[in-house]
Amino acid sequence: MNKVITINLNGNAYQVEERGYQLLCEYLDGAETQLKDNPDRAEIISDLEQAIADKCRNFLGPQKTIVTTSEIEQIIQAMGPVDSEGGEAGGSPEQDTSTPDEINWIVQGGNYGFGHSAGHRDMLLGIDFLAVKPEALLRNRLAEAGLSPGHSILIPSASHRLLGRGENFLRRVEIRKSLRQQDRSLIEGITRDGADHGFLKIVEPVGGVSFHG
Amino acid sequence: MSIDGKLGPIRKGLLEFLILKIISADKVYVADMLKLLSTTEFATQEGTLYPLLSKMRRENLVDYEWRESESGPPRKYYKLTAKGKSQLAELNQYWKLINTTISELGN
Repeated sequence: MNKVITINLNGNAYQVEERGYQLLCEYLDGAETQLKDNPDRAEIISDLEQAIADKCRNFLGPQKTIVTTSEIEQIIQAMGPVDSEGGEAGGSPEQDTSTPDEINWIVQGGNYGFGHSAGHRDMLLGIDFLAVKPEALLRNRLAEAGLSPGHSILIPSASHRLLGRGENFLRRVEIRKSLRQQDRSLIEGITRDGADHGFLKIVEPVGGVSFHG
Repeated sequence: MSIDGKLGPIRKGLLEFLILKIISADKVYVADMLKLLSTTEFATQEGTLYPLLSKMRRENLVDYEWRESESGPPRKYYKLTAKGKSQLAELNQYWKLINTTISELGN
């Protein structure tokens, strides 16, 4: 029995095994990094996602509704490493050293939050992360950080969806660095990073907030 | 360095030329290009092709239009711009020159 995650690739929902989802995140993260100086990054990522979606569709049928990890590996293999300028700079995408837990936490807590619906286009990777038990996950994170349910996580406002993908990516990198640098016990709270875009950010130290999970 | 290691950069450099040639024949989408290249020395992948097409579009060599697809979402069909046609003509000419030079040297 494997956990399955529903993702949205360019407007279509696909059910992917959890490890496959992580591999896809790593691939697209690597692509984002590789294309960080490319002015057409957002469009290229969107094209890549569409290509991934097309390949996912090839693995599905009336009796098969899940894309397995092994199939995702094949898809990533077929996509190939992302060149920064296509044919000019080879090499594989930069490897993400975050743990899967960190990735999940960052994606779900740092970018996505609770309120979302199928078919909505997320601006992080162009993927919607649907129904991945975010509440339980965030509660666990709060517990690890020494917070009780009496503490607070402010959910990203709808306006964060207007953000460009690249901008969110940089924010996420920022959070990732923060996670690496800090002892988790020092993470005493989470707050929204500015009212204008609703992105969550770890701050230290914060107290007296309440959990709205 | 192996022969393949030496030829790799040449293949990479020629990929843009080949893409111009492919697109000059007809409006094509990426899967068509990959398929055409897959049986050649220049087989490539989406991870390389999309950034390359994006760069070529930025340089105003190619453009695309959306077309509905029966088997999925709309697709981008690429076509050459006037500048792309002109560059292809120059590249074709240069390629002939290179071929001639290589053929004539050393024999």
